[in-house]
Amino acid sequence: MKSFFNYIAEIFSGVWTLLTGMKVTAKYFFTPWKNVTQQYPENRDTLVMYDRFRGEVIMPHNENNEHKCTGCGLCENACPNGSIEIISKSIVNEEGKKKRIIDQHIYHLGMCTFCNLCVRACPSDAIVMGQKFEHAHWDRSTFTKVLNQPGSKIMEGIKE
Amino acid sequence: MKRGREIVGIVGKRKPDSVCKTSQRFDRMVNKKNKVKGNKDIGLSVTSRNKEVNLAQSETNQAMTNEQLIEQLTSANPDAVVKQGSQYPEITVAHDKLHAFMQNIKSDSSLAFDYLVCETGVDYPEFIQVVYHLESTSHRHFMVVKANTENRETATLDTVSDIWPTAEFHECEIYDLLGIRFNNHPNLRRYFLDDTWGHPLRKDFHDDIHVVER
Amino acid sequence: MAEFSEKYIITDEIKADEYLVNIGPQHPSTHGVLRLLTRLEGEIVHNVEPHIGYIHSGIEKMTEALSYPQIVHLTDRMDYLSAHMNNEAVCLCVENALQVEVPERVKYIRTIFDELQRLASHQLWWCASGMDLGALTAFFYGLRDREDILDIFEETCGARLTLNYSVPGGVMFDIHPNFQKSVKAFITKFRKKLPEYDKLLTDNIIFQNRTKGVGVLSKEDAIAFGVTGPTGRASGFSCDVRKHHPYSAYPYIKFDEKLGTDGDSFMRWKVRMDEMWESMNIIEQLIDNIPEGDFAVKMKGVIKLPEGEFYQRVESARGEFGVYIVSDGKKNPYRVKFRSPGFSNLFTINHIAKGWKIADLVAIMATFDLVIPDIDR
Ligand code: SF4
Ligand code: SF4
Repeated sequence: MKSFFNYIAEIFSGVWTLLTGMKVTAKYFFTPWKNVTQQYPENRDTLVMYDRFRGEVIMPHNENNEHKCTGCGLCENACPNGSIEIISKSIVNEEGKKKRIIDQHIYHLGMCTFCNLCVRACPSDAIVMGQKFEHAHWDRSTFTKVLNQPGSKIMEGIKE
Repeated sequence: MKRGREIVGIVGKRKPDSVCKTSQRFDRMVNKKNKVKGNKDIGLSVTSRNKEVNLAQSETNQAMTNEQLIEQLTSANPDAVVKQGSQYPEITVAHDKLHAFMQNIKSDSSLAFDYLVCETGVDYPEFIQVVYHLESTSHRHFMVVKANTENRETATLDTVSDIWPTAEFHECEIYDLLGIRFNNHPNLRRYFLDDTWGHPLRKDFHDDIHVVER
Repeated sequence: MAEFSEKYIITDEIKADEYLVNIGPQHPSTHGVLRLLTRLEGEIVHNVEPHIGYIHSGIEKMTEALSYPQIVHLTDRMDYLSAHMNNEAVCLCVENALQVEVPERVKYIRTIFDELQRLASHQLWWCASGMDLGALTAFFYGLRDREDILDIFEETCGARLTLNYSVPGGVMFDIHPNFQKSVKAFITKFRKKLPEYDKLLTDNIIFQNRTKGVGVLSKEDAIAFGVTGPTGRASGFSCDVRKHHPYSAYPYIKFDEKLGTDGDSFMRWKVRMDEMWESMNIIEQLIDNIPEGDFAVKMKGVIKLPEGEFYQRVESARGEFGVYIVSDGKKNPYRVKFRSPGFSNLFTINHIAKGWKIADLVAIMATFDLVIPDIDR
């Protein structure tokens, strides 16, 4: 007899606790403005990432198409995945001295883990982390990027 | 089939309480239930917790310092190499005495190393070393035991899985990655890799297909 | 399949009324690619044999070719839900070896991040295991609140999951100017939300009946099997590294180690719920007192550890995480071993799931909080 009452009591308390839970869900059901869902991708135009967001490695250029990279290769050494390759070339400058400058700063986005170690390693702050995050693409070859723009020069006054 | 399950009593209606913690809620629930049913053996009461913590702390006071530990280990094992490592006392035991030594430090009540924290294999040029990090949960002292295999080719060592069950799985991992065979191990199998692989954590492991060296 | 089962079933003969069922590798309740080879009689589990290694990534081998700051970034990928604790463990180990004293500010920041990470991890555990036990609503509630923590992470260090925030010698960036404000706002909000969790699941009789008394792990077994973290503490095994071997800012603060008595699935659940409250207490003690100072000490460009062996333990969200570094004085370590909590915890499953039903096995796994990359490494 006792177990029978327990059984009934359990059913009632089960229903009761179920209702307690449903009270919580009902609260959100009837106050939809409290919901937190973001309507991505409809909100793409207004979507702002945090300024420290690590989306990709980029090399900022100024209006004269100049960057700060000296081609020292420290970022290449710091990268754990080998996603940076520095190809440098030697040129003869106005004073007739030989000088090594950057030819191509190759960045393999597909191998990058966005760890920020290259940005930390760079002595002249030539590379920074960009905000773009929609990297999905049909073709893998587009993930290999050359960060210094064609025809770009190194900025004046960057120490080697 | 035996089921350790009981029909849980009425939870009933509780007043909403904004800063009501899970534990408090639950305590109340249990207390209420115990009162209602007179059921003591549910054992979910949380009141004994604080007592237990105090106990653990008072036991901590009896912990041996590293020096005492080294002293005791040296006197008990004259042929083993005992030294103070960078953090913890380290003892290197001969491979044929390993099992007896381990059994001893677990059963000795002043040492009581009952918790095997970590078991590691390290490959050295002449031998493979197995490193045991041990802690005593009652005294809270910590020690490192090392044992070297005789050679690298037929690396064998006695299992300690009968002393600490967790060693069974760590030893499988070591067997997989370093190729040490453990004598008397109940179920020595490869966990991560299949049989076509060698033992990758050995320093002479080379794999032209899967491993790209820079 | 045939040759596989022949090779791997080494335990005793299968009886006539038993059959073998593979749970996983692709099964929602295994939380990843874990295969449980179960021997069943009807619905009753006779033996569970976990097969791991489906996402073994060879991190320990990889570290032998990497420098120390690079190793830190790999540890994110093991237990991705306690990424910061893993990062911190390697950093502490390197700092210990080099005898570098980090500024107080770093200690505080690291500890706050630890606890935020623990909260985020427990929230995900809560919602995922709710889903395992058939409560889908829980999943959305947990993820909703976890989002706030991830936003805090993103604001300060730019990443949400694989933080790579600790570096040897300090942290990667200083905290964001908004950090304290947003953490405090989160705590206030989450203190109101956490009782909802109780209402949704913990107090539910159906849920309690599924977990109470199921899968009991005794204290002795917990110690013998090396089960740590909330899982071990639910059995009464006092194994909190934060308490017994305090690191970072844990010596400065007061907090309780939540110990259970039963070691059943419900107690494991409750210990984690309690830990969430405790984590919030810890954060509140620290967040207003972050001392001024540098956020990192200057380290050498190439970090070389002295010859020797170093072990560092931290408390990750799943238990004791250990890093063992053997150095030969070069810029790469000679050998690195990660003692992952999940590895030790997982293999008790055979011990405690014997004799229970399949549905209870799922409940046990849910409350064990397994993260498979942490087990496989
Ligand atoms: S972010 Fe990390 S992985 Fe990516 S290029 Fe820089 S160093 Fe390499
Ligand atoms: S980006 Fe920076 S670190 Fe890399 S080559 Fe250029 S200057 Fe050197």
